[in-house]
Amino acid sequence: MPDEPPDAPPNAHHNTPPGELHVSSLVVHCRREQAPAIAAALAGLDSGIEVHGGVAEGKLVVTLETASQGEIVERLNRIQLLPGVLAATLVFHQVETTDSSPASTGECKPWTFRAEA
Amino acid sequence: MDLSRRGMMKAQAAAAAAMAANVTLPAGAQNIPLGEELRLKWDKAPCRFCGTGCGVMVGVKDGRVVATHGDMRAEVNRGLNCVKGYFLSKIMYGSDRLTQPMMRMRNGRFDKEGDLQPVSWDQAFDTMAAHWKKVLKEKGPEAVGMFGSGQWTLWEGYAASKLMRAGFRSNNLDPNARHCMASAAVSFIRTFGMDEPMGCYDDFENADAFVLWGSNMAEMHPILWTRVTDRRLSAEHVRIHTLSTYEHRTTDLSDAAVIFRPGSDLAIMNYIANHIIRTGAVNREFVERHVNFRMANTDIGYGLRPDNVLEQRAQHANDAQVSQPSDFEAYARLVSDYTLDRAHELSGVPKPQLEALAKLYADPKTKVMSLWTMGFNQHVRGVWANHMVYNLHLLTGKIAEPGNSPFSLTGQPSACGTAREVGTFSHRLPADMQVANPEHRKHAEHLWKLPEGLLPGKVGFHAVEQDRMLKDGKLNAYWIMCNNNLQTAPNTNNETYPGYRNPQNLIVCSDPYPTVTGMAADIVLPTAMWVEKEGAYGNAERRTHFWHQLVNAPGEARSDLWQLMEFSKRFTTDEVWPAEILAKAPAYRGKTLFEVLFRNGQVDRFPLSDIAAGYENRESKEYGFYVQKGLFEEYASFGRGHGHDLAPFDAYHEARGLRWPVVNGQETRWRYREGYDPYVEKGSGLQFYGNPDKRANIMGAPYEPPAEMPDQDYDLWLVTGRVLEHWHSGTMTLRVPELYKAFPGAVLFMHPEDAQKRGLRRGQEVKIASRRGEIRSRVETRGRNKVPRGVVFVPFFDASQLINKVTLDATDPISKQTDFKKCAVKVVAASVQAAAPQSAEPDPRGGPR
Repeated sequence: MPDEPPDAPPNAHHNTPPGELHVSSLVVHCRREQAPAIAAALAGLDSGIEVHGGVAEGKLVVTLETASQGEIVERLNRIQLLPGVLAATLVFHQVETTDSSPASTGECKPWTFRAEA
Repeated sequence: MDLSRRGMMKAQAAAAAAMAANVTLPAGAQNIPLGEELRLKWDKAPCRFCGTGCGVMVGVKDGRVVATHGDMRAEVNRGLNCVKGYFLSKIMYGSDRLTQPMMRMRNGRFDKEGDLQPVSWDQAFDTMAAHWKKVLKEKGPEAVGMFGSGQWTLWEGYAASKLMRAGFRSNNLDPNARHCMASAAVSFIRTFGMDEPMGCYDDFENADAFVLWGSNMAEMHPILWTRVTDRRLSAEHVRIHTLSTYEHRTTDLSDAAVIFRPGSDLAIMNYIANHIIRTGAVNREFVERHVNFRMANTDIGYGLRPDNVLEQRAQHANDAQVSQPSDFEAYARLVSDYTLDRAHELSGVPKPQLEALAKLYADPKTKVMSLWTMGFNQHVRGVWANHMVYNLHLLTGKIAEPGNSPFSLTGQPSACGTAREVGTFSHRLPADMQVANPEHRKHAEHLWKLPEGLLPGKVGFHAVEQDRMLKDGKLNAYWIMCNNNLQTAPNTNNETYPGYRNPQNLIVCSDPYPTVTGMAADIVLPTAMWVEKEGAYGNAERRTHFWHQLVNAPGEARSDLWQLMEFSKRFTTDEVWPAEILAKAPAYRGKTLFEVLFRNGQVDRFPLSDIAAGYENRESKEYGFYVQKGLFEEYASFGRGHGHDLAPFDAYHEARGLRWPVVNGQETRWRYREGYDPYVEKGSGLQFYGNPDKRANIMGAPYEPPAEMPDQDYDLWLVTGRVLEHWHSGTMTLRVPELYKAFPGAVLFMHPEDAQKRGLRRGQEVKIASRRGEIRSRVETRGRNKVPRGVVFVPFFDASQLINKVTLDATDPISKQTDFKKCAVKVVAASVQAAAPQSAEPDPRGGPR
């Protein structure tokens, strides 16, 4: 064993399977006077973003259509950083395959320790 | 996919969000799909992450969790989810999940110098049991120990407590919650005689002002932050004041961002107390009826090793916890030193900000909710900091009623439930009882049907002391469960890792993933997690909530509960209990610990037929009785009738959690207040009944400086903490690709001028060094955390940048909780040419906020 704690274990990351449609929704809290402007900004941010209501309340109801979960996080981060946004919170998520192949089940493989010969 | 299908999915998603936000959509809400369509089976569970305790709905298909969404019926989050909770379905399916026990082997036998190789459960347990028996025989119970977790389920913590205290007769059991909220827990007992908040999350909708003391709620408790912002938006007069040592998302979104020098929060609170007294804002009637005054011992050291010069020099290092009765006048004199000028000098906070803050507390018409987490608790004067905020609420009577609420937030899902209520600290028993109290031990022995005098009265080693004792060779058999302490303990290179490698010690680590701790252990046991077992957690607002086992753990992974119970079978009472105790109780002779602890006529009292239909329950099936129900009901007998009442077991599988005390089926939202709390006597209005005289304590204490401050050689403050995407050491969240991508590796947040002064550029690789160790990281001058000059911030989730090699193992001397927020470091370029390649992609960690 080394003198120091071991390095980080390898984290294997899944790849996003192709051919998926992710529909998700979030609530975006914003200062009420800025809500109309933020709603407009959101709609212009990306074609997969839609504002359904909540402008009067300062709680925008927003849906996202993306091809992966990663894009959900990326968009969420962008929304959270818009001026006047107090909080953006995810609510719902649904994924469907858009082609005939079944969605990956992300099979679980055991992590193997290296056995020295 | 056809467009109508896509449109329907969107309509459903929008309806769910609208319902969660309580917003009416023009198109009219549609029902949320219940799963039939997708052939999912939905069940409720609390989130696996922080202490907020959000409810999630878990969708299972073909034995696998495939979806989660916020639970509309959960009062805590009302359908909302933070980004960690959102990807909960992925935490169990990291490709490096452990599925079989591993042991260091050489030539087919256990060898501490060997490599980790797959073994059977029997091989692992046999090796462990042989070592435990040898250590118990040669050195006694004080040489065995266990480091548990605020992420244990209630019954796992309870089983661990029984096995350690009653089985092995050792109180060397401590949870990682020691690093997280020991200061809060200790201060609750010292102030109110009972642990945990008097208020609850319903305070969010009733407060006029929120004061966040060292809490970055927007990132660390996003759902509760949503409730704060909701309140802020719904009432014009509501204000948010956030105190911190650096700017972050929460300070950005607050009405006032109060940036103070590390440790000077003590001076600020004493100034506010002084302001309250000076302006006549003391609620005299409340103070006279409900409050006692005490003075804390001062100059109490820093919880370092006793031979450290700072401990030798301190007058009260050995009786830090002692306080003396006092009175209002003496307290007023103490805080009168903390004038506006002095508070400004010590803290660096502009005077108008300090005054505005003091006025919030002083104004009798403003209902104040104070919130705090690690900024207060991970503090060498963390107990005092907690006391001082209670002092403000007690002086003004702003406590234990809707909206007036000093509220300690917690970091782990069951820090309250398992660490505190079950009592997995080295000094605690269930229901706030203490191991040092002979009456409490006797009561526990009676409820556990065990011989009198069995339970040890000596307080065990706390977390940091366990590491020191492992290194010193005084603690030799050590089981780490449900935490990653090599990454999260302070000064880990000098004080934690050496103990793991000490040849006298056997280190066992139970975890679902190969963490740094697991990789350094001698035996690694694969663990079932979250909905792979039936569980129960207790959140920050006293809410106990349950879930069913929904899927099976992969391979040979088994729950911590099974591991503890199974291990107990390998010991007989004759091997581990003294002869004189067995002589007095001959019926216990020759029994296994499994028989006396778990087959005791109580834990095994409920049949398998009590398990709700359609749910797997591996432990119960193996042992032939409803293990979780038996353990819970025995545990609940400690608190029923004593202000800690829990509902009957089955009720929790129905409800979205209930806040204790639960009396006659009713939960309690505000304790100590007549009309809300059934334990308060009629006509009294308010009673702090945790203390015999039913009064709370105002504790006078001064400002004292941190253990280490920047100087010529180490010229910067180092503050450590978390980021939104990752939870603690990242064992689970780093396995979610989306979260990993959002914040892949730790960075050093630094003020641009500090960087410039050192000739450092954004993205450059640097060394962060303290007197204890150094790590490499990269400079971030723009990120979401904006530090003032003289301060740097490094998150601790990244195992490849173990910032705890750098931190100092100073603790609060009373609570023994580590201060991860204050030590002195220097930052230098790692090499001459090492500027990072500039990526075209925007870095998610940086950018304008």
